[in-house]
Amino acid sequence: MVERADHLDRARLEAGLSHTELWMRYFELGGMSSALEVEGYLYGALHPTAHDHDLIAHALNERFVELGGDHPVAYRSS
Amino acid sequence: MSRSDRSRSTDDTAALSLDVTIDGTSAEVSIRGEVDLGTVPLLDVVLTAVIEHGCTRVAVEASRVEFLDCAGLRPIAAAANLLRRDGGELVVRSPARPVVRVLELTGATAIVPIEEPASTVDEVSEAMPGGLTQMAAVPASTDMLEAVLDALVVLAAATISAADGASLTLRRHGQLATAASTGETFAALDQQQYDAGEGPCVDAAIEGRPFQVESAEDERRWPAFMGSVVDRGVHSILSTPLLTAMGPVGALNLYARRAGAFEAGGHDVATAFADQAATIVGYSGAQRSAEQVTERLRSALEARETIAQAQGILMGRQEVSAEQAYVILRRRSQDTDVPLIDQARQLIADVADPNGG
Repeated sequence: MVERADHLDRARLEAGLSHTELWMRYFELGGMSSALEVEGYLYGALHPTAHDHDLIAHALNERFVELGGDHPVAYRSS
Repeated sequence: MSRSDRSRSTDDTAALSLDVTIDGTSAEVSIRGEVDLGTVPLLDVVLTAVIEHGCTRVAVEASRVEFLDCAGLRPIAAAANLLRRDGGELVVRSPARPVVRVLELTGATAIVPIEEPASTVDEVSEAMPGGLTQMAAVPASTDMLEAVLDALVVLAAATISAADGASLTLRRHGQLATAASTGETFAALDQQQYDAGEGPCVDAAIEGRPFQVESAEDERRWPAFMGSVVDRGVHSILSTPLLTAMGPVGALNLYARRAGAFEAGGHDVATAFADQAATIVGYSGAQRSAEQVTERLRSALEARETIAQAQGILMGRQEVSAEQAYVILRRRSQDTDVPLIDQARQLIADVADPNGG
């Protein structure tokens, strides 16, 4: 499967989260990367570790659940 | 025509109070209490207003200052430099010990000279026939923003001689309200505009343009509101918007008993005060957001702590790595749709009370 480099960012837009808000939720979940690094991950400019990727995915999925939806963002370490 | 109204706060619990006396181009700002990081904005607003009024000789009367540090010196030194640049001067008159100490330690006496006059008020009144033209006392308050806005409307009304009263309309949470006023009449006139949903202050605050009533009796706009204006003996109104980068946030309203009061002028000075009010309100708004961010970060740190504890418990019980423990938590959250932080809290609670519900 070919993933678009910015699939995380597209999910962010669908979830209606700003970059700052997404970073804050990632941080609340225990994330250790800076806001700038997370932005890099979102655009596909930087490659996150599997852990970081899944933290961001989980922050997004928790947001989708808040909105009454499912978990559309896939995890790397399922 | 000379006018001297005087009101002074006698609230002994207030940290800082200021008395301002303006006589032509001379002014005396008398400080009583503590000037520190918290109360400095009040002093800053007052000194700026006095300079913008056109005063070229400003005396900061400091005999009753109980505390002043470098933060307090800053607006005084800034005012001194501004005045000197335009050929004026600022002196510190009869400074109390804390003030002398700070001035000497910082070497600021070079730009802020100390003056020990024999007599103050008498000299000033003898210099100007008719005595003091304007006085304004700034009421002290424990709420800094409230205090600064109170100071602003008092000074605006005192500085713009055509005005008999002033009020400040602010838009908060989508609603208009009066944040400060120099008298009940003017606050009531504001309120009537909010209730009627129309009026010069409403339009200025929403549209971001000034609105003026030259003669309330002849004014055709805002019919629902105008009747009460004349009933209260007011015939001129000038509402100047508070403009920020994000649009208008309110209006500075000037009221006068005679018609045509603002024809000859006052608009520029009103705009200067309105700009100052907008800056102050914007600054305090940013402060409130900073508090919100701080609170969010504080609770985020708590959440991280909780998750780390839960990881620790899983690592101990199941002999897994931290990362593996995290995946366990995350999968539980995924499967139950319960947020990860709540899974962590539950885990910790279960450990603390295994027989709990």
